[in-house]
Amino acid sequence: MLRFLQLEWYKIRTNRAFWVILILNLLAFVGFLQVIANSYRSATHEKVEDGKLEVLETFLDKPFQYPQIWQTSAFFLSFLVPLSAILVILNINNEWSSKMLRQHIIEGLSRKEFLLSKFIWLLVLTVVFTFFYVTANVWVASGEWEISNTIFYFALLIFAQLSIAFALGLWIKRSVLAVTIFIAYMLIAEPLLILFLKKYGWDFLVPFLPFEVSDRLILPPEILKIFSPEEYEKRSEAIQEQIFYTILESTLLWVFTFWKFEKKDL
Amino acid sequence: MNILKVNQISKNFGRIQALRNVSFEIPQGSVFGILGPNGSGKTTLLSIVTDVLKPTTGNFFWFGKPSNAATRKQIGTILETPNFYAYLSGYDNLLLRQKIHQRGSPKEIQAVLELVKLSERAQSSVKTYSLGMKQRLAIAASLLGKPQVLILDEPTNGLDPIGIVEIRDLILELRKQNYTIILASHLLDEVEKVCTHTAILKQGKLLSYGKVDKILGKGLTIEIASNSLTELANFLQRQFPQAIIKKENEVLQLVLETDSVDLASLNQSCFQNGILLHHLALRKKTLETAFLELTEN
Repeated sequence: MLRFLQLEWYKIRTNRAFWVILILNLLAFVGFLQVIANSYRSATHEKVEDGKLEVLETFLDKPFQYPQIWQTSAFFLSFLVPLSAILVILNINNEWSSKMLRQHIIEGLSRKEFLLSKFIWLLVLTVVFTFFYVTANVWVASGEWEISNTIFYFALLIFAQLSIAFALGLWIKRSVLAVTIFIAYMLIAEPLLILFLKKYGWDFLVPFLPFEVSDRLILPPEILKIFSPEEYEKRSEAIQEQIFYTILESTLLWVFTFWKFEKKDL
Repeated sequence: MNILKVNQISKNFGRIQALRNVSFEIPQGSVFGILGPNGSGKTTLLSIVTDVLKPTTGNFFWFGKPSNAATRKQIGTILETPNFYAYLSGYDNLLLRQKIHQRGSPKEIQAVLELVKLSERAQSSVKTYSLGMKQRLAIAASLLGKPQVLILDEPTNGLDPIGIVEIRDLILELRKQNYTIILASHLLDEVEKVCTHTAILKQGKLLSYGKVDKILGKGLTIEIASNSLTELANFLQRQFPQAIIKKENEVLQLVLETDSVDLASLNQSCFQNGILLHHLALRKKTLETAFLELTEN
């Protein structure tokens, strides 16, 4: 395992594009959360000053206080997954465009070993992005530090969705196309598909859709519970099931990728 | 002992048959040239035996065993263009390859860089290298880990004449060191100079393979001319009834199915028969001639 990590490390340590995008991710995580927190705080502060929310004053900053901030930030930062996906897609695309993928096989790396090194690399990136998420929370949060299960849920979401990005990058050799498909499906096609399924009574399929399965690990900020308490409770109770489905679907995706890659002409 | 045994390999890309039931064996210590015009299947064949492409049918064995990652580590390969991470230095690219091989030391990297005369540019990123330098770096990379076999696909592509001579000398040097070398090229002269064995491919079919001497076969051509070509032709026809006589640019080409001929005796016979020769030269059959005969047929 250390050997595979070393291999990936040698590839990226002087890759300027990689480090630039990684730092952009960190800045985006912290910046985006800070902007949302600032907007919320200034909006609620004005209302407190108007006397409209006097009673709730002590609870107002709750979405950005520990432990609620973990959930609030996970919900908003999950919208930044496409930015992280770009890093993953560019990484695998670099192997295609430089023809190094086939060169590694020629030199004695088995196809299984190549994918294993990428799998381990994706686990490392998941840890890195989760660290960015924690950093953003520490930067923005108020109140006393408290840990939450949401950190694990966020890590699982990142891993599941970046696995999809990796698979796209591996099968679609052009990075621009792979990134476009990823973003278009995530932000347009799947939400439309959900609407369609709900409209025609196929709701039961929704929790299994590629992105929705892991999106459901993260509940919307608790402050939004008032709009649909029942639905909120239902989703809250289903998190354990969603963990299982997310792990199952990610495992199936990787097993399929390993199996198919073994037969692929490079 | 055979280093590589290829059994009935075929490869289809959709409707296109890139290889058709190709079989051959490569003996240890040989320099095996794979010849063929563009699109004949040379690179496809090499891609299959290096596991980059999967054969549609057939199989192959390296060192008597089915191919796997361990057998590939004993083979140094340059396939088509030299492939490197452009943003890494030449040294770092070789270091990365050593990590894949899981053997060798930084000293070995220095040694192969010196061999291909790239030591001074080792720390420059590959994107600053010329094509010739990349080609030499690729050869250095293929020598890492002291492989038993070298596969060189068009190794002189992009090199200047001096570079071509250097690579040829390097191949001959490696041959002396008992490397088995598989060399794909369309430069017939190159192959003839360095190869002991050869296989000729055309449109995915193996036309012939074996020792270069065997491929060349018996046969030589004598260029001969006198003031009266008709008289000379009649004389030669009587002397060599089996020979083929062709006239080209006021010179007769006498094609004989033999390994040697005594030009002095021939000159003397002509003189004794009243024919005064003003041109007499021996042309041995080249790989180019053999290749053209095989591929044009």
